[in-house]
Amino acid sequence: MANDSRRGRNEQTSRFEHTVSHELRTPLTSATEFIGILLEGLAGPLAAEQREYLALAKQSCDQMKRCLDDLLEATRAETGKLQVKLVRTALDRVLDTAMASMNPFIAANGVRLMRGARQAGQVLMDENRIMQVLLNLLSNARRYTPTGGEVRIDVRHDPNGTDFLFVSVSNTGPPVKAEDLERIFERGYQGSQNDHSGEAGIGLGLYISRQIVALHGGKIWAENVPSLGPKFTFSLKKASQPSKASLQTVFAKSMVS
Amino acid sequence: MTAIPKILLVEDDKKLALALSLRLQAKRYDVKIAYDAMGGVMAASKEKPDLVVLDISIPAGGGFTVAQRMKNLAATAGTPIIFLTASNDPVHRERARELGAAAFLEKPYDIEELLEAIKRALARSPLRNRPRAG
Repeated sequence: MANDSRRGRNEQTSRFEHTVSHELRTPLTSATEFIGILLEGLAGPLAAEQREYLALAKQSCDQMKRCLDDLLEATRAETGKLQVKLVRTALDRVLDTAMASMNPFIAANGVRLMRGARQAGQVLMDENRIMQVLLNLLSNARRYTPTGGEVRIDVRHDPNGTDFLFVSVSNTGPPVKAEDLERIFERGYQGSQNDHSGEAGIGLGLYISRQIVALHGGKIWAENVPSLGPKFTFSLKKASQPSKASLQTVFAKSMVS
Repeated sequence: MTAIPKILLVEDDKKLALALSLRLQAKRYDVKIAYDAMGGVMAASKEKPDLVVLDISIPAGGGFTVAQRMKNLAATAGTPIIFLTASNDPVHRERARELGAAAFLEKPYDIEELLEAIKRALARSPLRNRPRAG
């Protein structure tokens, strides 16, 4: 009985999400397109000021697109449609890629991006999804780090000796308020006081990251390092030694809570 | 004399249809537009375009209806189709693939990606010989 009503609610949420998404995506596309058409001079030459304002309009459209994508992901997570495919993957390589992607943005704020000791070894992960988590954490760290500060990635074995690796993203900056350490992972929670980027979001990044990490069988949490700043850590399961060098592939589908 | 490629655009949002046709005309394509599935099927059989850009969510039957009907007609069975969708639904993607889509793009798409997909699809399929007026 409970399952049916849950399924019913999920179907309703899915349909609503589908409608909202669809109704927003087409006008967003046409707005983006007309701005692009103007910027490319297809409707005549532009004065510098016109070009500048159109570029700002384009940025707003890009921001709307990101919000829409986040909304879709969060709804998928909530209605049980988020899926991960866990494959043996070299963690180092994924961290390298994430850092290479984010370095230009972080450096542009006068912030250093650092990496702790390299940890060889493979974990079970869905690379695209964990990349999403890493980019979310690094992007948040960038927003809350004042110029001249540092963002840092560290990997270590679980000090409790389980077969999990802990990946941490920490930054120098004001601590997260104690009462917010749990709340920031909730859907729609937004912190803006110490945000150095001036970019708003719709508060879904950490919520989605938590869903993704949970699908990997891991956990994600936040803490404050005294005299330094916030630190976000998530755990990933180490891939066991292969018996025949074959792939360990596990599909996990998000559970309806 | 090189023939100008003819593209049929099937899109129910008139603003987006206008924006897209401006882009395509700037690239020197000949553009025809239909605003719903029935119009799309009729235009495809009448105009015999070299390529169709087809929105999946259109009234009077939906984009897949247009694609299916085109497949059933000898004159349009081989015409490359690029599907557009507002919905990231993996079921749509799969259905488009089954219908032999030349490409599948989600809105808001990157216009360069769409133009590139059109160029590639046209290069792969030979232009039909049609008598040109004048």
